Amino acid sequence: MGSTVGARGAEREQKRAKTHGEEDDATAMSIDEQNKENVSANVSASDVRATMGNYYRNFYPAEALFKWLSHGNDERHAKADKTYAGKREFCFVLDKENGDGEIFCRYQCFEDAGRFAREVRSKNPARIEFGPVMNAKPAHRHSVKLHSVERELVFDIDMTDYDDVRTCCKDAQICGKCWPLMTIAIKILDAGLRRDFGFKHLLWVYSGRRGVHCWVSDERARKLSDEARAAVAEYFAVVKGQGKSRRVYSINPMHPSVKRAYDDVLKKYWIETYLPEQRILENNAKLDQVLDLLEDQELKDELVDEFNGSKMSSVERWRVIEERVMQARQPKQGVKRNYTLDFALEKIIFWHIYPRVDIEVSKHMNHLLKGPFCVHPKTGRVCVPMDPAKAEFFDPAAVPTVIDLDNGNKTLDEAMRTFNETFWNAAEAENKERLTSLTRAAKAANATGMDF
Amino acid sequence: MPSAFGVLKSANAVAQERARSKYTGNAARLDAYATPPTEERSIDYLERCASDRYALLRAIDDARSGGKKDEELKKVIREEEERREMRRTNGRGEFDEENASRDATGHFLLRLASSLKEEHERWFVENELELFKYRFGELSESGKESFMKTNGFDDYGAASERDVQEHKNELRDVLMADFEFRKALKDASVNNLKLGEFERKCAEEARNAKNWFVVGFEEVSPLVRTRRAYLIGGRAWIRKETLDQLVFGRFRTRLSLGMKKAKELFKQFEVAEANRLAPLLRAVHNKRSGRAYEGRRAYEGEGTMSISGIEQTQDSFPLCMRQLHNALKKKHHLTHGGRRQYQLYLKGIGLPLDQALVFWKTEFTKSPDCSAEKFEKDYSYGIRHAYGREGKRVNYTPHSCGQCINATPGEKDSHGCPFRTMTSGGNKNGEALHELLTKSMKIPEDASIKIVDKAKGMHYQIACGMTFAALHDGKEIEAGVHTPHQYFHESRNIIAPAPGEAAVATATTAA
Repeated sequence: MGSTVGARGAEREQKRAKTHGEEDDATAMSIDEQNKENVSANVSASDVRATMGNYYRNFYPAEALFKWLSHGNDERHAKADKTYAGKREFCFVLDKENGDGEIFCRYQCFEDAGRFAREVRSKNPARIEFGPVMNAKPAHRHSVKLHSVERELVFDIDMTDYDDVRTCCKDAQICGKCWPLMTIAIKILDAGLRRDFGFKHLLWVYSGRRGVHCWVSDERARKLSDEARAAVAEYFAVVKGQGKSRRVYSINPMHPSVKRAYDDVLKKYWIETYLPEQRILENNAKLDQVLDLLEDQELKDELVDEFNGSKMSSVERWRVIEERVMQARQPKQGVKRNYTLDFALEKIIFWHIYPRVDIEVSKHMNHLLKGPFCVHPKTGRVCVPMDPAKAEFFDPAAVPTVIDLDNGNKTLDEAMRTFNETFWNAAEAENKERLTSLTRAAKAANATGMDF
Repeated sequence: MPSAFGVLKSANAVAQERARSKYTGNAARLDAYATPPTEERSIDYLERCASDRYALLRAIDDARSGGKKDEELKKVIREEEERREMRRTNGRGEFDEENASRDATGHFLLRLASSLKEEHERWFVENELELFKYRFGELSESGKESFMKTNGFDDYGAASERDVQEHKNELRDVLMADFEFRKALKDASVNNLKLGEFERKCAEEARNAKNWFVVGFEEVSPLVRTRRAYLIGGRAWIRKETLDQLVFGRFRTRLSLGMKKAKELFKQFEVAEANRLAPLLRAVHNKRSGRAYEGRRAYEGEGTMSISGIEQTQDSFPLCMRQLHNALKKKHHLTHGGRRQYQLYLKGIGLPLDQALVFWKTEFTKSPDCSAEKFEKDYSYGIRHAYGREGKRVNYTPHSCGQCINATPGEKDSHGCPFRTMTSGGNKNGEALHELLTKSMKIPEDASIKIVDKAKGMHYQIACGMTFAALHDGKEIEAGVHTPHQYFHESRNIIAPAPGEAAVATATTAA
């Protein structure tokens, strides 16, 4: 979720539309579905909102977040850019007084963590979004022409984009059966960003309901141009389009990074997790969707007949499909070989479970994105950091809600530990190292006596 | 032009630098435009250089938006270069100093002129890059090398033998997955390329360390995006043949930096040159704006179009806008993309803000789902925003054909370019477009078939221009269709010429 500078009206409306959609789903849910851990049954939106003031006062780690967003420039160091932190745009999303809709307070900026924390406490926003660091203080936008200078590279993956491959839930719901799709996305993106792009400081965050965000905070990532951001996002967009027009690109043959995603993650999750949990091959409509991807009517008909009335599990059925495709690949006398079958199995797997990144969010430096440790208004859950190395053990249902925190049933200790240990400690060390090396370079330059 | 460029560098320093890099050998064919020329020139000469440069880039832009590429585009550029006397070499391939000087002078003047507005800046950088790509492509291999050396584009790393051996399998896979590489191999082989043979060739190519260069991934975005590079730890391994991309990327970066400097430079000499160069530069981009359809007043929403006028002039609406208008009339709603495209267009044809608010409210509130309050709450902001009265307060320009073509409307949307949307995706056969053209627009069968063919060939703007001709007794829009509101104004000039406007139209067509 986020909005782009300049298209505020549109985004706002879109957001409102989204909110309406969510409400409809919530009321349309049957009692059975209430059991799904979508919205904890004991959390009401109004309770959540009422508790948020306390949350900001007692739990929200404003100082830690501001420190992160300053990337070392808040240090008392000669080489720290003291103006850096104050040029970051924050957006406070406030409730309208009549309780209907939201007000976007763009271009907020703060000199230091203390001021940020105070403002959060006094405004009690429904949501806090982080934007880019600009060429001047965003508050001075009337006198200076603002443009974005740097910003973390961000990724947004949302479960609603997976609706056509989920049999358990739809829209805003999630459960233990579909959450592994997020795990897959985290595993693949995390490996790619680290290994291929050399990024080290990745902050993964649960978005509070049905998705995850990633904030790549390396200096190099922050300084990427929009063009380079788009290139990184597209690099991961092996599967594009929606519904019937969803296409799998360039897996025939596979680029090494695509191959790694397939070998290390997709293959395993497909057989061990996705098929047994989603059982898509036992559902006629989904089976049809899968077999259509073979692009071979004869083979499809044959398989449909075979599965008709069969008690086979999805995994068993997949083994049959694999076998049939292999057979069909064998050259036969007088029959024109169907070359699309060469990569048909892989295509089916990619089509279903390869990460579906909302690349528009990543492409632009000035895209606002909800920050970590915000509270989801419907679930009451805190957007806690996640450890990508242990993504498979992350349980959205176990995430503390503001009400849990307020009651003293849970704490943010573990979330803070994850933040520090999987992300901030290393990033902070590098910030210090960077400042030291700047000093060293300056000293060296002085010693040689630069003469122009 | 001492005061204009003199500020940038002292004449002496420039002369020295020039002498050092004095057009030598192949590099003379291409200028990286690092330093402006310093010769004294008459103001007439400067004016001509600037407007010629504008015309050259405009021709490139028109050709590109008309769907021309590769050989077709090259032909356009070459012809235009010759016409404007900006070819840096003469017929015998020798360096033409006079032309080269005109070329550089024109570039720097237009750079200054384009630095005044963000949209002009984008336009300038894009089309200059296109021109650069064409000229770079014309160089021989040794010419490319010497150009890269002279201009400092050659500081990339070579891959070490050890690294290449270590990653040879991955590099082979990169080559195998590289569609361009596969195409090149296919084209080069006499017989059908068998898979085994293809794999062997890729492996062979991959093992040769001389074929690989290592650069930061940021520098070769187009290769990263399409996965045509091998990436490890932020370093992109690229093939020798794709080094072009690196040069283009660096040229683009330099150009963008140059634009920033140009902005400052313009401010510096603006006062001193208030009577000479400044007005000249300001006027360059207004060449087309002289015409009614880009009239400033229309953008600012102070035109004279009325709500009833929208109905009465439907015959002058391009297909995309008829589609939106009909969808709006039928559904009493348009999705965001459609509202934006249609609102800005209506502004472009002269609908003032107050009328626009009434028009949209009337249509939207015909739907039971939209009360007057809902309209005020959800939609009026967007309209005022389009007219620059809300948010960032930018008076947005109506969408160009390029923007409409690049839109990605979904099933519920009605916007985009119908010549594209009705010939792609599920409409590949173009039957829907044919039916629309023949049935509701009453275009003869044979003309419609030609239009649909053009659209299928992805020449959307040409298809639109042909539609215009079919609806206006064969009269064409000489300059091609670039924006929907331009289509409208061209049509009005033919159907109902206002006194004086007809003369403008003929004059521009002749020019």
